[in-house]
Amino acid sequence: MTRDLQGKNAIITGGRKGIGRKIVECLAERGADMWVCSHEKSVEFERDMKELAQKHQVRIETVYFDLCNETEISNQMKYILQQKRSIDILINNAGMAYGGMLAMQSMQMLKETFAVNFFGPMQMIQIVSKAMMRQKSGNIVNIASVSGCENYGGNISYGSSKAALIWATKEMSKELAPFGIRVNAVSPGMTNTDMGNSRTEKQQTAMLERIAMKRIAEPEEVAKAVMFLISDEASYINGHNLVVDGGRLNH
Amino acid sequence: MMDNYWKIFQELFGLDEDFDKGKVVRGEISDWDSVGHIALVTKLEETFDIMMEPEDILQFKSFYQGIDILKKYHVDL
Repeated sequence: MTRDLQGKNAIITGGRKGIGRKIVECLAERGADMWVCSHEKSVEFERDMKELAQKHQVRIETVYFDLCNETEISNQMKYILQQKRSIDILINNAGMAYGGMLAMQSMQMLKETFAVNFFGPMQMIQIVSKAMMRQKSGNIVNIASVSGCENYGGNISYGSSKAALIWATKEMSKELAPFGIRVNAVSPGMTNTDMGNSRTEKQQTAMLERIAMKRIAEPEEVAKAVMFLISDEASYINGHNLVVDGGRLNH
Repeated sequence: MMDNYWKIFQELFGLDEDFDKGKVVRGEISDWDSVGHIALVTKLEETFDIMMEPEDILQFKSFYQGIDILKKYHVDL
């Protein structure tokens, strides 16, 4: 594994488990230093990050905030910016899934889903992109979802919040390109994580039927797509939504 | 401090030293468009070591108005 990210600093949200945890591992393997953000403090997570940092000889600092809380986001981002390190990579990975038809969910739930999946990432970008603008370089990847690209009913809050994130990704890619910042999205399909496995067996079977490769993704397969987008190999890719779904969507 | 503040406008928007500061208004200076505005804000934040709130970024519409806005961040020009 090349350490092509040595000397680079990354911020990643939702790095405690699932796809986020795998992205953290991939970044560490490639030598990136990181602020790994989570809303939940735990001894296991702290130990895990410490071991990962030692194994790959990188600096990993854990940062805690709730993506629903504007003040917490602002304060923690200020804390990171005050360290006066470059911020080369931002990965908005944290998300929450909440399925159901519109008639069967509260407005509060809808707002909370949007807070975590859309408004939180927007605030992160708003703050972090200004540091990237000063550097005249930066890479932002938003983890969206194929649910934001298709409609099959019963997924109003999650699907629409991810659709908003995909749209905003494309919009921001145009706004930030003059400052040397690329903004892309990765849209995973069903993935072998707690979130991905939260469906009932019946739902899983029905979903598998729709996937050309007839299997779900491993988190590493999604993480690799993220690694590609932040690499120089993707230097001319901007405003793209890279779908990683084993052939589920009809493009 | 005031000199630094004025120099930022001069450099970003290509203004001469004797340009009328009262006419340095967003939308009226050709390079002070939305992209130029973000460049101005990031340069001010870097120079004065502050982090402006989005509301203040939105309200910042002229050279002189900016002086008052920066006071909120304890930057006395």
